[in-house]
Amino acid sequence: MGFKLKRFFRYIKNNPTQVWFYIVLTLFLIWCGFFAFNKVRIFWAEKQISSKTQEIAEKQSQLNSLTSSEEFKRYDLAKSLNNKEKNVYWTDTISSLIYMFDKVKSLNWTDGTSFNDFKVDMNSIKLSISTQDIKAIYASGWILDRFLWLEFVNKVNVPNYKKEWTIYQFDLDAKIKTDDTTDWK
Amino acid sequence: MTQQIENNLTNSVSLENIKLRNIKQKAYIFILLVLTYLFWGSFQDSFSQVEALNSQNIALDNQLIQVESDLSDANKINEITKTAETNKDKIVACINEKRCDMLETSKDIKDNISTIRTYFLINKFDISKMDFNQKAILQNINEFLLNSVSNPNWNINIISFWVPTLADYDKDIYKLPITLSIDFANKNMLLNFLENMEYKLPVLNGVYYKINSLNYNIVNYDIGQTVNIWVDAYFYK
Repeated sequence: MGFKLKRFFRYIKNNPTQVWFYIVLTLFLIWCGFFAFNKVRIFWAEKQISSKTQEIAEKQSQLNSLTSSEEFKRYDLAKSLNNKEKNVYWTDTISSLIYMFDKVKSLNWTDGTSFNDFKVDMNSIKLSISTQDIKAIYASGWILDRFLWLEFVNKVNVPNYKKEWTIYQFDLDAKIKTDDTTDWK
Repeated sequence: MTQQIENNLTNSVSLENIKLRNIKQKAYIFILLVLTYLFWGSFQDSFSQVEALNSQNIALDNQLIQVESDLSDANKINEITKTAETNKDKIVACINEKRCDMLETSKDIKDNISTIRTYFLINKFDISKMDFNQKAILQNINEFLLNSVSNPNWNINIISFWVPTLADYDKDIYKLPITLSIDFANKNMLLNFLENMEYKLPVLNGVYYKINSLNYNIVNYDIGQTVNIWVDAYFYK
């Protein structure tokens, strides 16, 4: 092994031009290989690009012919309208408000208790209540309880109670549940 | 002696050959270096060209995917609209009377029933000498929303058309504000009117409406009321 290596180095020493020639030739051939490889890649890529461009042009033409139809345009507009113009369905809103109003109206009001200034929207119910007996407000199963039992009511708030002559008056504000689980019908 | 002369001659020839070979090899090296120098620019360009073509190829792949997806969507829409047009009576029955059993085979129609309702309602309102086809809207209000052919007792007080404006600049949808003032004898008549506007589909002359607001006294729902309704009607030109 050592002998062969010595001979190899002696050969290099004695034939520097030849050695350089082989080195340059090898590098040149590698360089040519890369060059040729790139040229082949360019050729294939251009071929693919040309075929894809043609395919896209054909499909685009089919697409244009489909999308230019009146029906397509109308459907596209319909989709856009449905996505952008979200409706509040007033049919359901008014039905729900009437349902809530009926429920409040049908609460079993005791003698001497009345309500007025009823205001209802989809977020809250507001009304003024008058009663002769303060016990009727808090007693179990009476005025406050009846509001708390309403399934569509989320939170009931009475800021203050006022006595005028012999009648207790208060404003009741009930927040409406905003989730979709309430059955209004 | 002769042998020595011959040996000297051979050595001299051999040296000459080596010299010649060396010269040739130097010439080859020179030629190879010159060739490399001359084509170095093209060699470098080939890498950037490959890179550019690869990126172009990737971009075209994405474009192709997009076009194919758009084409598939367009084909689907085309199928849906064709099926919808040929089955309009069944779609009207499904939307208005909840009889959708006849549409069982058309899954795409059932899945897109809301868009198809809008599709039938949005119309081209071009008419010569008018900004939009008021005749079609009046007919829709009178004969479909109010159903006045069978209920001639509706009382329309006011129908005001405002100036139509572009609702969506990309899509050429026009929005026409309309104010209505109508006497409703009871809440059911109002609810019937609203249901026609929001949920139902006429067989002919559809108009897509969106109610912006209305005034209705809930507390007095059991008596007749005049209701003002502010709506937008949508159409295209």
